[in-house]
Amino acid sequence: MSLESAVVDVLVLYTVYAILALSMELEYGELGLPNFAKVAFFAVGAFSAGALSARLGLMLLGLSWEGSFKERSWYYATLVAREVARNPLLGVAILSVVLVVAVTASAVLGVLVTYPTLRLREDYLAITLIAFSEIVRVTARNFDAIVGGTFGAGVADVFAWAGGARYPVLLLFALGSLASSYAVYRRLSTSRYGRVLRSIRDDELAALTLGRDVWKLRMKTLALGSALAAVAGVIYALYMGAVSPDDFTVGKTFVVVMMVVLGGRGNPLGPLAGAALYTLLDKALSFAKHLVAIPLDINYLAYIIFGVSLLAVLRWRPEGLIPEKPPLTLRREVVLSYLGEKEDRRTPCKLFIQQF
Amino acid sequence: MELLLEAVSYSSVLALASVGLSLCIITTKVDNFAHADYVVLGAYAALLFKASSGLTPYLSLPLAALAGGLAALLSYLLVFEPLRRHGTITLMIASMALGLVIRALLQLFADYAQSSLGIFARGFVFRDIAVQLGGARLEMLTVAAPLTSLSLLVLLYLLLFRTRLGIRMRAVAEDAELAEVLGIDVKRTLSLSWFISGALAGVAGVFLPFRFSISPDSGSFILLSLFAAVTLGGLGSLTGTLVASYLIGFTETMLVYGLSGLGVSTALRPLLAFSVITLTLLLQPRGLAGLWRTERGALP
Amino acid sequence: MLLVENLSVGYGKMEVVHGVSFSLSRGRVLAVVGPNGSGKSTLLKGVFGAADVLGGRVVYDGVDVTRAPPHVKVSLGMAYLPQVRGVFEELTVRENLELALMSLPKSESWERVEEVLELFPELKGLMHRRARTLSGGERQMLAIAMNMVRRPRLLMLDEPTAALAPKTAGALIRKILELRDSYNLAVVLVEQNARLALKVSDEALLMVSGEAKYLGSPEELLNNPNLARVYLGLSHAG
Repeated sequence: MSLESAVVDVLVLYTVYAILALSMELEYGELGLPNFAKVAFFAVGAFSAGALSARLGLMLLGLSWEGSFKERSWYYATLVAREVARNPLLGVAILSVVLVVAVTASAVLGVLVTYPTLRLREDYLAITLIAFSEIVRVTARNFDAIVGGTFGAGVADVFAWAGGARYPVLLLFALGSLASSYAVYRRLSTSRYGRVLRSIRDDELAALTLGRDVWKLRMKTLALGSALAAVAGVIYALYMGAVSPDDFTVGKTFVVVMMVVLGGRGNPLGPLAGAALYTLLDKALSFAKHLVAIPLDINYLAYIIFGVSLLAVLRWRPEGLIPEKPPLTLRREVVLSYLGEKEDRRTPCKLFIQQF
Repeated sequence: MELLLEAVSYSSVLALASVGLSLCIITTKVDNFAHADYVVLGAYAALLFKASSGLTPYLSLPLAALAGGLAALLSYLLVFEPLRRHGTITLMIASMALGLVIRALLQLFADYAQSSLGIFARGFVFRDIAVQLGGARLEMLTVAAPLTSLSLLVLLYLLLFRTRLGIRMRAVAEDAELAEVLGIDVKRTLSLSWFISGALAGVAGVFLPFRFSISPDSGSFILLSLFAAVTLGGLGSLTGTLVASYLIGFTETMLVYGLSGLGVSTALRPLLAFSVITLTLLLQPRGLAGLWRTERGALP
Repeated sequence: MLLVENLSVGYGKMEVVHGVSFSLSRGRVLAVVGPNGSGKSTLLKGVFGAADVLGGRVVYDGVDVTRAPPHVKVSLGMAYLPQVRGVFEELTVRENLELALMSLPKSESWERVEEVLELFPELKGLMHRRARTLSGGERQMLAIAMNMVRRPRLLMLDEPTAALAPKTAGALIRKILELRDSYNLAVVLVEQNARLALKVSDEALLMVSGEAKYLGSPEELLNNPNLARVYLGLSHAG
């Protein structure tokens, strides 16, 4: 692999992780609730590309699909790609539709899943979300019509018209998405909306007095976070050229959480840094696999390193690489202790003192 | 009839592991996602015992208990105790990281066992022995599992309510700071408590391979059912968790048997567990224990 | 026997108590009074070790115990009764007392508890009741009894009469005085009910916004219209 393509490769992967990390930060950092079903929404995006790109392509070309999806998706994906190489508009059309479907489906799903569960105590919410993401994976695995079950599905290359430059073009698209995601995130967090979100995060009681608006805000945030994850999913599917349900395990959600924790929460650069850190570690480890021959399986070593790093960061530098900037936030226990009340760590609260 | 015995066995194993988890949650307020991995660790301890001694895995119970207990103890001392000032979510994430590390270590061990020791360590099962009881011919598991489970849980109950250590454990579970103020060594009490819950998990792990094929990542398969039992049982109630384990155990066994023809059994358990969790939380968040518990005292 | 020098206490980096000093001998009661949020509880916590000491010293029986952890202070004879939750609700009265016994270095026998029960006869009939089912006053009695099992020499109480009816509050204070006399205890009593505390104490410390505004005789504090009215809300002396 040439250096140039290696760089493009790493960068595309980075943008996928960065968008995922931003979406997680939006939820975790602003709302205090990490979306433990993140991989499910990521999957929705990827599955949209997997399920639709070939089918859509055929439809637009006026051809009909023969045979089962599972068997023929690869064949038809390649066929569509050949047509896209001749007709860029076809690629654009497919991509647009896929994006719209991915974002909408993901946002709707996000709202549907979280609506009944937001009331739950945070740890039960987490368990429910994890279970949900597993169900999504298992469903996709068992119903071949979606993305070909364990076979996986081929994704039509919508950038085939760029010929040799298809990966750089994909990268451009990815970077563009990342930039827009970042812009959206910044707008949200610095706006009044963002401040309200943070006060919800920090004081559930005050939030409750705001009533129904809290739920609306939370759902909006989750819908947005899910939509962003779906975009990342589309990019990922295009990058891989294929989609397989088993790629979307709970482990991936955990990796995203790790990125946010390592990079630093409550600020926009944190997730970007965390994603960079993870991408570097990940690539370095797979590189090392080729260079050094150790008797141990490098994948498992990688997990151990990741797990231990996360624990170490939590222990010694919990604020992550790039800590949250003021306003001054005091831990709830501190302030309540001062006021002489008993702290109940079970409630998701922090008391928030603004230094204005 | 056989189905009934199966259900009882499965439920007793589930009970052992869930009550252990419940104990952790009650005493330290940590939802330990690595708990299921202690169970798998117990299974591997049994495997190692069987492979090296050639004896039946049933005899490895003490070894598995030790393995599980030590793993839990180390988890407490190295991870949860230093991080005790963090919030619930952070502790959860830490426990996920811990689970990840344990599973990876088990994977490495499985590789090593398979290549260097020649032990078949992925997707392994234990063959059961048959036992004559009365006029019936039973599988050893259906006798050993409920018996062990019952005795251990009775012992646990006695420990908690009839010994000084039990008083300490319950006091620390209720209010660790107050216990410290009164001069109780909280760290030591919690260490013992974690060891016990890990030991229970380890023992549960010995019985699993008689029915399920076990691999290093089997933990995730069990974890959801464990949390379902704890949720359904109700917060802070060991008895509730016990009852819930049997309810869930029976339901899972019946469902898997009844729908085995449809070929979706792998998805069934997580789906059932998920439904149980969601329904409980939406309808009766205090779980079964909420049904027989009275309202708490009115201290602020 | 207790000497607090220029003590500053807080949480993390937030300082709540600024440079407070006082001393106390055995057999004396020091009342710590002041408006809400003045740092009275935090001061106690700092002395005991339940909050962060950011400066100054705590000397107990000639030993500098400023940074010593709570369980060490307990073994030296300090007892601390937090503001809320001084007993274990889920345990029975008997189990609560057993627990208090357990922290003693040698395994003391039940006789210790019997001794204490002589001073708290009300508890004798309640031994098998869960602490949760006791009344407020009974709970406080139990809390103090649990501390007395260890025969402390210094007793620090954080608003023990909060949430108690006046009659029960009076009874509790009387009990504390009894203990002071029987055991020659040094008592630090943080109280919201300033009048009650000042009437029975030997020394008084008035805290305002984390600082010691007055340290001296309780009668003089009560008779000082400026301080008494402004900070304690007491309309007239006595």
